[in-house]
Amino acid sequence: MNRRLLNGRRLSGAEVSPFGVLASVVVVGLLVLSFVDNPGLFVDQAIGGLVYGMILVLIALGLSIILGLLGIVNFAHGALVMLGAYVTFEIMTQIGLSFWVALVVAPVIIGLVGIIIERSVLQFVYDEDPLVGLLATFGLSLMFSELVRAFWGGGPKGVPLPQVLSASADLGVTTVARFRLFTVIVGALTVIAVYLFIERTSFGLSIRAGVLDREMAEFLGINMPVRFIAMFFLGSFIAGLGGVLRGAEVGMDLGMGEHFIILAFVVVAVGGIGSLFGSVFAGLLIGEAQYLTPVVLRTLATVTGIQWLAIPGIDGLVPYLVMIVVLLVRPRGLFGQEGFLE
Amino acid sequence: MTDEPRTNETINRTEEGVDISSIRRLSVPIGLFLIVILLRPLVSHPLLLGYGQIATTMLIWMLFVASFNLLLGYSGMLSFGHAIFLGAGAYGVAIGIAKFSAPYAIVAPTAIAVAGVIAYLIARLIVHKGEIYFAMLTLAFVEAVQFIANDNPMGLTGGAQGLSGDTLPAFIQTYRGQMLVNLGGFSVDWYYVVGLVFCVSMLALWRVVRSPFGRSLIAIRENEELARAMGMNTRRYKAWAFTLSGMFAGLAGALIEINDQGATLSLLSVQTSGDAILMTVLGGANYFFGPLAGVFMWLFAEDYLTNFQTLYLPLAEFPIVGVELSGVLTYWQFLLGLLFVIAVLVSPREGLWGLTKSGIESAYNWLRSYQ
Amino acid sequence: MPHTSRRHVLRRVGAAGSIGIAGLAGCSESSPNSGSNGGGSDGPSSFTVGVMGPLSGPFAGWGQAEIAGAKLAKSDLESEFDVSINLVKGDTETDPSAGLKRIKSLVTRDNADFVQGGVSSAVCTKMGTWASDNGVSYIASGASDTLTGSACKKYMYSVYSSNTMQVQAAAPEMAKEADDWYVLYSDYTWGHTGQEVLTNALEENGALVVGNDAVPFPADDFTQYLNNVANSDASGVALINPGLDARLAIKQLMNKGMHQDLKIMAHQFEDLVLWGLNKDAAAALDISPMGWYAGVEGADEFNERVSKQSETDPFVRHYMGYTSLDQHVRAAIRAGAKDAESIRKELEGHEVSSSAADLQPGKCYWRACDHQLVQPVHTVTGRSVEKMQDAPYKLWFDINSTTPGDKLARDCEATGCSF
Repeated sequence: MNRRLLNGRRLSGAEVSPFGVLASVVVVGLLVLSFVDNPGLFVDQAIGGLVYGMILVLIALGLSIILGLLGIVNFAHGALVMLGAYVTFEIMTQIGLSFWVALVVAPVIIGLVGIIIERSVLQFVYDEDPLVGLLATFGLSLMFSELVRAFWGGGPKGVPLPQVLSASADLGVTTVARFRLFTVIVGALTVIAVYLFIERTSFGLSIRAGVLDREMAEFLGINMPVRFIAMFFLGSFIAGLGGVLRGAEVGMDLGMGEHFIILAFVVVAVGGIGSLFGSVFAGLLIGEAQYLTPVVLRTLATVTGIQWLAIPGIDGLVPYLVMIVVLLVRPRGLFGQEGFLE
Repeated sequence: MTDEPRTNETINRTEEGVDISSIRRLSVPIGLFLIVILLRPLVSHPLLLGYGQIATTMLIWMLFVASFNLLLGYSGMLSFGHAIFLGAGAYGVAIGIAKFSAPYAIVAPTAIAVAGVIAYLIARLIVHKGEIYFAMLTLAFVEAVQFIANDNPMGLTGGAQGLSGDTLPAFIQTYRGQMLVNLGGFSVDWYYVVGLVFCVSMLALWRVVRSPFGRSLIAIRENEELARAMGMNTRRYKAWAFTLSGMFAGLAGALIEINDQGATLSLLSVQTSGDAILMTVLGGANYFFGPLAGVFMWLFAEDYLTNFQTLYLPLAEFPIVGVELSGVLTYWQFLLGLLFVIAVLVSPREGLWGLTKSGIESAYNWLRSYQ
Repeated sequence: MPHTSRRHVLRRVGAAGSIGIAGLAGCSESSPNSGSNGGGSDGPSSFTVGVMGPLSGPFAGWGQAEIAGAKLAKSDLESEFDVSINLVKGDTETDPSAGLKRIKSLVTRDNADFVQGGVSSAVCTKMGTWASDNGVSYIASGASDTLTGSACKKYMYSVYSSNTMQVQAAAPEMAKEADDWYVLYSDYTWGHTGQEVLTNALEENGALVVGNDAVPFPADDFTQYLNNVANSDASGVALINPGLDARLAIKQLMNKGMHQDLKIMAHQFEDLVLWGLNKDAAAALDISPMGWYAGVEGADEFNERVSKQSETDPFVRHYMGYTSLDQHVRAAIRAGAKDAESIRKELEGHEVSSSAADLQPGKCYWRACDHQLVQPVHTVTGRSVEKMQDAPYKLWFDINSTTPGDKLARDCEATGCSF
């Protein structure tokens, strides 16, 4: 089932329709047009989109791992991201340690929270309908928001960034906030680390084997519960990491959990459930789409003179539009696998 | 959820209205009638919530959540987008009255029809996808609809403010929270008008659920592949279930428009859909009355617990010790969330109603065994 | 006591209509639903006042501040007059549906005589509509023009200087600071109105708006809009975003290093927003209009009382909580009644002369045509970090200018309000 977790499914020539070709040509044409119209802005937004996309990937990666490997729809994922941010706040402002400490410690704590969730709630729903897991974690996410509200209050919080990361980085063609660059690097390293772990270690191999056929794996002496716990730790750890980075950059507030769970789901659904490569690709795609769509629309509006094309605030809708379009055209997402949760 | 023993139980329970005894056949209408008659007096009691206004809101939400349960409980479809139809009903009526000065009698059915059309279109697009994808797509749709409403197209929806002015039909009068309906010289309390609509529509829903159509939905819920193998066009059934539930939700929306004097953006939010899910599962998705119990529990808890200040022990009249609970109880959602998780783990479809019923049944059997 | 007949009652409710129900409640004084009266022939001596606001969620600090301000007014009023005031709280959760539910229960269950509060204009509109339809007086503390404009209601008043007033105060200063401005505004009513009004006002003052962007509300990332700003010719950026979003925008602006070259304006600014951030962000703020600032002359005693009794240091919400309760109760005492119509007769045109008047330098009065409290508007600029005061309460800004309200408020005809 998860053989091709990390390999993207190649789109064979027979699968691309003439309509698809036409659509691609139109999109490329619009992008070129926008570039010509305002090169500086286009480059800024294009790179900004990649950076934001990487942030989305980091947020969604944990969800994708748990969903892809364990088949659990973890609705509490967004709450874990939020918890990571608030724990960072606690470590940095209340206990007074530095950001770098929080960067390491907070994800570990969230990973442990993930283990608690797995042992207390999720281990009972592995064999049930996926909806049961979704509902259970949905309830958990509600509990988590209230817990966060109880401990830290409803007001928004913020933490100071470390000096070395708080300025901007000049990349030649564009300027990016250093912290965002840092987030991109951490994200990329995480993706690589996860890939290596799952594909190249024997532990990862045993996990993949166990998920394919749990009974057989247990006959062979593989301790599956331990592996499930490990994967949940990993997924939650990454969620916490995303929370640390996001919280440090933009601050933490109670709406984070809900906001990120929706975005994470969109990324995973677009990429295809069960495909880690798909999630990475989808995250970058959505990030780019969100940043470039207003630019393209604005160019179109100036070129054609149809002013209402430049719909204000359209970028908020872009992730959902992408999801609807992709899922209508490819019901399993871009790289999703057959039979997975269907 | 294809647990064998539960399947039989489920089919038995949902067939209860078909029993020979006429009392059991009338149990649903009687139950609905009792709810309407008893709810407000119960809730207005000073020991409970202390005011009756909330009873009307409860009835409307019961209708909304019951329509949602047609999807979750009877068809096995989890939708995060049910708020779309509540909003469509409310906004349709509000736009009709405020912008076009049309009478309620025309606007309300139109809004319900619009809700049905939207439901049908969405259903045709997504109803055949896998469960999780379906749920995620409904999430995307509700966010998209909320975005469009916020964008205030053609100045119709009022954007983030919603529609508040001029949105009451001519036959409504209200003073300091008491709402009356004027029907040709008679003034009827708004609560009873809502109660009447509630009874009629819930009975209609009951008939749908007990009809062959309803039973087919249950079959699809239990084992969709088997149903398809038997020649059922599951896609069409699910689409119609979605449409019908959307229309009933639209009706609830039309009622809410009067109750809340307008339409607000939050009616179209994911939280509204999420609340419906919570109430349904807490109450019991397997039962017709389950969601109603869930609504009562949730809304009652919300009002009661947020107003609870101090608990005097043992009695308010003779306080020996007062426990300051107002701080803790503002986090009532945590407790209900915990209850929800436990309910999902222990028996996802039974909920409070199911547990109460089985509790009463086992108590009855225990008593009987003591003859 | 409004006389009503059945015919009157059956006529359709207008945008600002209120209906009496024949035989239902009659005169509000004698019905059981109109709150406690306490006897006394020279007017009401006990009040139940609903204080609404977000008590949970990200804006909880705002709601708490209004309640703290109201509590100060309560103790002042109770010592000045022989009255007892009972404050009942209602959590609006920054959601119109929740606000409506709570105001209904405050009036029907707790018998609130009149109501005040609200942060989100959508919530204020919803509650104001219900209040006016149901004969309850309500002083709103929302920021949008529509509260005293297209959505004005017969028994709703606005204690917050409107969108337009604040823009008119800021625009001349902004034009002096920079010639070209880029406007980032939140994609909802308050943002839309603010952007339109600001664009016009800037152009009237000789500056130019080179571009604008609608930012989703709430926003989690301003980067792409800041890219737009950076790529334009603008030398100033106007942030028409509510507190938390403006905070994020400023933070990300500084991370990108853009604050060195740009003038920053934050519309309808409330200092609570930046107190949670580092001081550099506050120092970077160049021009911001405010409804009230703790640094005005003569507010020291008020500020000290607030900092002792409130969870937050004094800012505009404390002022509004205080003023609303003060004005409502005084109007009721003058009128000798607590129903909405009597209060309206007393409030319309009334000039504030009580202790609330000490909090603002300049004339404050309730304008009859739109129920706006016409009051002076201040523009502030961030102090340099070393000069920022933290004890006994925070003062991080300096007042650049104070403009009297009459110069700023729209003409009555231009508001679009009719009762």
